[in-house]
Amino acid sequence: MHVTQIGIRYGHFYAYSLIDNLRPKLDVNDGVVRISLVHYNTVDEVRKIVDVLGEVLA
Amino acid sequence: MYGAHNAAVYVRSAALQTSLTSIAHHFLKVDNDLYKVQPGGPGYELVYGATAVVPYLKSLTPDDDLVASFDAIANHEQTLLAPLLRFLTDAKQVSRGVRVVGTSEINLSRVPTVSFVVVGQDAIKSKDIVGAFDKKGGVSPTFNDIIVFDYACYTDRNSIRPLLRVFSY
Repeated sequence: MHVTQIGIRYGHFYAYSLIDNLRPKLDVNDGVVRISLVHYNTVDEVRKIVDVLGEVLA
Repeated sequence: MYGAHNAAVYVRSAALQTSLTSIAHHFLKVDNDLYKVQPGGPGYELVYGATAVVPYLKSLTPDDDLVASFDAIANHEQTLLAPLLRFLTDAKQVSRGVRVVGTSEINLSRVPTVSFVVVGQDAIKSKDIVGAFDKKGGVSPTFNDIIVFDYACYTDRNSIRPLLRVFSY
């Protein structure tokens, strides 16, 4: 996986009530950012995700 | 992600009869029957596809054993979580407005599906964070709303509560 092959998603993921009950209050349709890792991902791939996050949050 | 998606439900017959609304045709009298939640049979391809799951899982370690595989997966998941949660919960990111949903403790009850928001004075929309990733040429499968919609409608009626717990870590 290259940096250019990261796929993450946002939203309420159909857990509408859960997102609606989070505090601070969120725009439910904008929801949360979700990064889903599974057993076949590598720590190196997670580091690449973190690098991109660092740029976005800078 | 994991191939065939099958679901199974174990339900007391009293609950089946009184708590679940039928999703079968309205003219069928199936209130005391499992048919009320399973109008068709499971897809043949899903049933056959599922037969590969156990061999695949057992192949993950040389032990050829499910417990060993799940232990290996759980341990590996902890190592995946570490750099991500360390970053998101760093004092710098917290003051930036990053908030992780659920626990930030890394232990065997924490699965590596991590949700967060960026709130506060310099809030960033979740959509824009994902957009930044997508701009880097990210994989962008379209949301398959149609498939999930019926399911969500059905679960919204009365049985979504247990399902929500899946997301509440």
